[in-house]
Amino acid sequence: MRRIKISKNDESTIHKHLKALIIEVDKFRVAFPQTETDRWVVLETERPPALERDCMIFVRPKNVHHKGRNPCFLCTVQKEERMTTSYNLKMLRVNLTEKSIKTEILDEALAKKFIGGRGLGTKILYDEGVAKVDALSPANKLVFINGPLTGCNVPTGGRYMVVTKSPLTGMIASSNSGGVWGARLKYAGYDAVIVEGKADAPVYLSIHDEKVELLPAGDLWGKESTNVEEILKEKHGKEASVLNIGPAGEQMFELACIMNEADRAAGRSGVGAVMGSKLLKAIVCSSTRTVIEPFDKEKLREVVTESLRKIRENGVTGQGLPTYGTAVLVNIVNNIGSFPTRNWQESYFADADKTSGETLKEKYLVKQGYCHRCPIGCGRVINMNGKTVGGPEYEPIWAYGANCGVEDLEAINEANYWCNELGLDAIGAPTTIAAAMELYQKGYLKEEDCDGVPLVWGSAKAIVEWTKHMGYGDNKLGRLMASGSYRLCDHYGVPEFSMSVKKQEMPAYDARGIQGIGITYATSNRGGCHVRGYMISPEVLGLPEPLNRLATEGKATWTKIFQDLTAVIDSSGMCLFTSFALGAPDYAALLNAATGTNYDVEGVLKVGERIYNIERLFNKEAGMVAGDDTLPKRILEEPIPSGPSKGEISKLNITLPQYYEVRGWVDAFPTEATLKRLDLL
Amino acid sequence: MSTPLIEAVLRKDLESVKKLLEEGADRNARNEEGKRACDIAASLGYDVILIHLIEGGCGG
Repeated sequence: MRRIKISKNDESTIHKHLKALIIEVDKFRVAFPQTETDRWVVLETERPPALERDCMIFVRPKNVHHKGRNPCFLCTVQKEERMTTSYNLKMLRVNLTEKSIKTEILDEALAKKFIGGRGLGTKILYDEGVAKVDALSPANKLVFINGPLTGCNVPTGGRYMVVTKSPLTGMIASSNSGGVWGARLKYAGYDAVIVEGKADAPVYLSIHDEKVELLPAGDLWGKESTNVEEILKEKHGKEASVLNIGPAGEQMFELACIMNEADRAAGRSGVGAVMGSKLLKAIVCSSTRTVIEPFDKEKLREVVTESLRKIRENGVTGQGLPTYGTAVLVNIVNNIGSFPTRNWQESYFADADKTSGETLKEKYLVKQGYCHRCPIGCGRVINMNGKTVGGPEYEPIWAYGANCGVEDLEAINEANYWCNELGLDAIGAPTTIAAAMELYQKGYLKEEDCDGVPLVWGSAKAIVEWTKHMGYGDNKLGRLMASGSYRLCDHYGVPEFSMSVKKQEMPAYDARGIQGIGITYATSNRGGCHVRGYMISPEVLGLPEPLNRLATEGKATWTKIFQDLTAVIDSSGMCLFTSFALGAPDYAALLNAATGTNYDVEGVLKVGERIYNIERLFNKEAGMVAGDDTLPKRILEEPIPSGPSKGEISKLNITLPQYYEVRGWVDAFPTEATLKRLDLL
Repeated sequence: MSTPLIEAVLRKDLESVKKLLEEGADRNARNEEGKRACDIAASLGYDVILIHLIEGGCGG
């Protein structure tokens, strides 16, 4: 793309210049005269002619008619700039109630202020007043959004975000997924798809370049994820990429996720339930284009070469993750006694090695799995009873394994498979099963409640069968469990059995034995989550600097910069795993080369901080209160009873006030001065 | 024993921190309390300085 600065000629001059050069653009991108920005015309055409200053041109969009006329403007070129940018600067807005599909211009300045993905998606929803709506009502909006590096020739540049108001937490949801779907959307020409309203019958959205249509999905409703993908690929071509919900999303269960490419998931916060509430079963995406031209191709190539070198030479991204997948962490975290076991009643699992990444590789691994442009390949493609499927990552291995007292890796593989097929969050579903097992252990759930499969610790059968009950919603307890552990435990009068923050289940690291991750969990804007500031990296893996996991000093500041830099990565379209090897200067350089920004380290960190704060503003409007930044009672009051971290307890009472001070927040929310500093006021 | 890098951190002097790092200052040198420049920046809440003192990213 190029853009030209123009002056519009008055009508009288048109007749004098009938022989002016006509430039046909694929899409008419601006109306003018309006704002200063609008005086730039983006020439969306593969080969725009060279333009000289003062030359007269007609700008005429192809195939676009306005009020029965094909708008055509005579302009004088003032300046031409090579304005390639990895943004498409174009979004789709799909209103399912009105059955309308519109193409909108993405404001480039706004995009750069929030980067894209998680940041820009949240900003869009905040500005459109989504924070106050019922998450499962037609008023909620669902934003599928790329980052500026999605689809670019950068390592792991293929990720997209689903941003919406969460039915699980009642706060912001931004769930990230890899695979190919995000890149396909980018190649088709869109940075985002905003879905509004509710269809009157099941539909799916088909996007092929500029051909975008809503199609009936009645025959897909009720079908599992891979089946839906097969049917739609048969219809739209094998190069099409499919994103869809399973039966869990259709039934609007709070633990429902969105799947793409069979085993890639926008997993957390119930984003699949929002899609189900709109009767939107799937989005199919294909394109003729397969590359994104960056702002500075040579510079990007140079930065990418250096980034790839760092990723290959890093022990985690170059060896640990490719060899054993994320489950390389099982033995590491268990050996420090911070591996939550039996719903966090303990924190060391004697049989952990039977479920480790090493064992998974030895017994079941077929090959590594790669997302779009990924040089790491942490994905596990495994043999499950003779069938080749996507294997479990560290979190579901822990959640179905130690957290349910299960040592049977074959059963864990199968339960994980059903999470994918039925569209369930593979952290939320098994941790809710663990909570149900504690309810059973302590007599709140009776054998007669369990449909013939008692929820006893260590039951391989229970983790598989109850995953299916939750996903299909085929019995009363399964449906209740699919609403998440908080609602389940609250139903039985013991919400403290739910190991969740803001009603979202915490992942596989005990915050009593790793103090920094406790701050991350407590202050995460989307509830219990490890990938909003992965303090495990310094506290357990010693990257980028080793920190004493039991100490509190300085952890608030570390957590803040991890949260802010993570927000940048999540918004860029790259995978968070690259950050084991890459730092803030690398991400700034990649974004600059791709988009034409001029971030330095402070600048990129400030954008991350802005994103974290706009999420917090969204949550405030959604009804969040100061006390929501906390941890479950068990983590705050019950020391780890045994194992290498015996006696440890969360010191959030010390770290949380420090964190608020570093953030410039009072009572959990940004002060006016902080908002001004971040250009949010 | 303190180092110029640690002293710059204590002064919250970002420009000096950047300059010293460019000149190859040992970011892992410790003071008499065993603390590195990054430990001090973190404990003082100097987030922008801290991000300059770490070479890698934020893990996955």
